[in-house]
Amino acid sequence: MLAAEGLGVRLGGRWLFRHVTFELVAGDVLGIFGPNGCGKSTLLRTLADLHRPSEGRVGPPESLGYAAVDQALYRTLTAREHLEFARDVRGAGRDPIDVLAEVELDYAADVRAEAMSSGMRARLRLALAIQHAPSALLLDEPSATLDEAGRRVVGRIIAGQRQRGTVVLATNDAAERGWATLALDLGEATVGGSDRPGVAA
Amino acid sequence: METVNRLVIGLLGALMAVGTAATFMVSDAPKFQAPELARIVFWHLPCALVGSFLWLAGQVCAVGYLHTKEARWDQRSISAMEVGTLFGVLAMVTGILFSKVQWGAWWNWDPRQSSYLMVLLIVSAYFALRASVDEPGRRASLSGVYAVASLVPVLFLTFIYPKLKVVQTLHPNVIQGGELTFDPQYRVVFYAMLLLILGLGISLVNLRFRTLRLESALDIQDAELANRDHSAAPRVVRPLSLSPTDQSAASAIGEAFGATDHPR
Amino acid sequence: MRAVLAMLRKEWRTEIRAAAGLFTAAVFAATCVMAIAAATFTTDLRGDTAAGLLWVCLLFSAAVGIPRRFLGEEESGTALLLRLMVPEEAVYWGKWLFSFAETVAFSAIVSTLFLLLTSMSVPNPGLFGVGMLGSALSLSGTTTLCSAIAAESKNRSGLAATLALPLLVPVIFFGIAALRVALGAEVLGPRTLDEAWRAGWGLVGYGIASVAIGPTFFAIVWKR
Repeated sequence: MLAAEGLGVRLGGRWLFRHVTFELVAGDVLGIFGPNGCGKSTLLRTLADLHRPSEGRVGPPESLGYAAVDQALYRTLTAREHLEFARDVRGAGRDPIDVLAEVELDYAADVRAEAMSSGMRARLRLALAIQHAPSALLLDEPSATLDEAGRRVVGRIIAGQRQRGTVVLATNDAAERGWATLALDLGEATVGGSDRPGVAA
Repeated sequence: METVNRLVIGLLGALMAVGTAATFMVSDAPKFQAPELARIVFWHLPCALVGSFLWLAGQVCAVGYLHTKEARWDQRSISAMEVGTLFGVLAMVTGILFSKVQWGAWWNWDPRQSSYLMVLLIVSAYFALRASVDEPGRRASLSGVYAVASLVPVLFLTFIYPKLKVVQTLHPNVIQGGELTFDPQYRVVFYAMLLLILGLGISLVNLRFRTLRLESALDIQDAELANRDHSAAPRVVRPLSLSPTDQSAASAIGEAFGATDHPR
Repeated sequence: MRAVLAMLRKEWRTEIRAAAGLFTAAVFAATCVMAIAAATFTTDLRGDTAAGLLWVCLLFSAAVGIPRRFLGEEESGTALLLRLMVPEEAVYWGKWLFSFAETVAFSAIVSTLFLLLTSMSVPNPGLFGVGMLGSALSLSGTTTLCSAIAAESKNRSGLAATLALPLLVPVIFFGIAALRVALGAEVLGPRTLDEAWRAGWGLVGYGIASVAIGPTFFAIVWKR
């Protein structure tokens, strides 16, 4: 469903990580952990084909959903318009209102992104990521700006995604860790680390 | 390889000395305003031609890069562009000097002159683009696209624009044989100089290309050295299973290290 | 096709609602025309001069639009959204179509204003139309590509214009050659008229060629 083979990314002459290898099957939730700056988000971007790996390759999924905290929205478009746009350009996807109901944002379907709180935007990003029922869902700190209800929404989304595909979750949050079934510690993949319990020859 | 290169450079130097001497030994060109100073043409015109040639070669190499995505084509392209610019600037400078002597003004807005300046502008834009993208792969792709996209304007400016009837040129049509043709003696020296300067250009491009190859090889080696693992074999990073009951996720490595024994 | 239309609709909505961009370009174009009209108020403009001045206006209004193609998307971070969801051909065609429509609209406004303010007539409207169509095609094709190239670099807005202007030199030349005759520059026999028409169609050809090879280049530029 989603695989990586000897994946490595070098930025500014420094290896962020190397030799990252995995193969996920439906139902897997891969948690990517590690200290700040170890390349969690970069790995996620590489998996989403937004960043070219310096070595190795990605076995791409059939379809992909991606939601990250730093991903911007069109300030002047409403939630509904975002989802309509996404549905039309992808050529697939559920009705905007249904998806918004799933992330509990249907009450704000006609609010522009510039008028939304950071939590509402996070929900809209999730809605955009799951609208077309992707086979792989990549989430970068999905509940960073969410309240308790929002966290439950993320939990539901991950549970639902496991029914039909895989999830990759980049996080340092203890609660979010609980969702993962597999752990990839990038702190250990960072070349030059002294103790490397998760690394095998 | 090294000896061959030294030989070529030595030979070029010797021939260049002979050629320079020859440019002073031919008789004055009678049809110019300042016949004795017209000798600058021996340098000016070959520099201009070699500059244009190398720019076009650089653009063709950019096509090669976009086609193959191999770094060496990008390095060939940039080497040719850089050395071409060196000759282009030399052609501009000698042209400006000669323009003052021949036509009495430093700058004339002569079509040949202005089209050359405009090509130089396109090439400068190319270098500006290269300077503002940091990542080598992206830099090569973006500047490659720009080099190829500018091929049509460059060809237009180099070959079509100066010949258009709408624009009248002051430049003597030396090659096609207009009013001011070279006499035979002049022609021999001119073609010899053209060949020599072309040879010089190509060997400079070759040198620059080899320097770039070495630089990139060094960069890669530096990165390898800085990140060298303490162990010999490359290590593979695999995920560990967090839930021992999850069969699909349990990997041999995970079990070997204890699936739930995870620091942090 | 549906994706291209969706791109167009998105462009239209964001541009209209953010109004500032379109408004700035309109004010800029109008100011440009008025400055030239005011400066030449006392002189009778000849076709040659008028064509050159009109082209300056067209070029500058196009240059103001460059940053709004891809630079804006890259700056606000929404380019990520496009890369994730939209097929790259749809991104290119959507962006180009919008840019073309905008260039046509601005060219029409700028040239009407120019002709009104300088009280010039167009003796050869057919040639004028062909010249304007060719300019709009070439300007939109070139600026779209250059904007995409410059979008990721460090000094985006300055670089985009730096890249686009030298590439437009042949366009400017053909454009002026066609427009000067259309605006009534002295025609020395049928050959000059012929050449002007050829320049006009040459411009259209250059425009079509630049738009047609656009997707190939764009694919390389867009993909990281």
